[in-house]
Amino acid sequence: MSESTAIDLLIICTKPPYTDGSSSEAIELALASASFDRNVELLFVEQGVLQLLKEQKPEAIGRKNIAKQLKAFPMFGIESIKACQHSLETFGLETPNIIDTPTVKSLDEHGLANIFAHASNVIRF
Amino acid sequence: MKYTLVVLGAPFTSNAGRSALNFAEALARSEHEIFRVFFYQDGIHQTSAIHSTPQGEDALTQAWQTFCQSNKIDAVTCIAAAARRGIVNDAERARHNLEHSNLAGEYDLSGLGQLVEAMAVSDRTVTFGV
Repeated sequence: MSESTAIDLLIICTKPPYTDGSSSEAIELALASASFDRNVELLFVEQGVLQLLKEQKPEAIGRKNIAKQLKAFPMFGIESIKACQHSLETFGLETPNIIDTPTVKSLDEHGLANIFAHASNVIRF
Repeated sequence: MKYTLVVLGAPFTSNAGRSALNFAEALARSEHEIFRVFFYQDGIHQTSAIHSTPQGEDALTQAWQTFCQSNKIDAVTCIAAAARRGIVNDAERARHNLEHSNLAGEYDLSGLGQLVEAMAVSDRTVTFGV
C-alpha cells in the first residue's frame, strides 16, 4: 500500500484462531468486498496475529484451516495482508513462523497510523 | 448525512442492539437519513421472532421491529451469519429442510453484498458491538 492509497474497507482481526467463528467471517467479508472491486485490507493485531501461524492443523476440532483460506487471497486480487509488528514481537513470531501467501507486511506505529488514516470504513472481528 | 448502522452484538449478552436502536431513533428524529441497518455476526439474534423478554427488562427485539416498521427502514439480516446461528426465514427453512423458521417479518435475509454496497453509498457507517 502506498502512502496515499484509499482503502474502502479495513478489516481488523483481533481474536486468536479457532476460539470462535470470527476468522471465517472476516475472511468471507474480505472476499465479498474484493469481489465487488472494493479496495480491502486485512490487519491482524493483538492475539489475532496467531491466525497467521504456519502448520495449522484444526481439522481435529472441526474447523477450517485459516492459513489455507488465506492462501486463496491472491486469486481474489488481495496480494498482501498486514500485521502489527508489536503484536508479532509480543508472541515471538518471525518470518519463518508465519504464512508467506499472501505476503504478510508488518506495520510499525507509523504504518498503523497511515492505514487507519486512509480507511473509509473499519470492521473489527 | 446518509448513515448505515451495523449491529454486531446479540441482545442481552451485549448492549450493542440497544445502543444502535437509540442512535437509529435519534437519526430518525434528525435531518439525517438511515440508508440501511445491517445485522451481522451475533447481531443477527436481534432479528429473531421468538424472543420472550422477562417482565421489567428491555423488550429490545420488539422495539427494533416497531422501529423498522414505523420508519420503513431497509433492515437486512446477513443470510450466512444467520443460517450458522439458527435464524432462517421461510424460504431458507424450505431450502435447508428445517422444521421451523424464526426470522421476524420486518427483516430481509440477504448477503454481504448488501453491507459492501451500504458502506460504499453511505457517508458514515457506524458499527455497534465488538
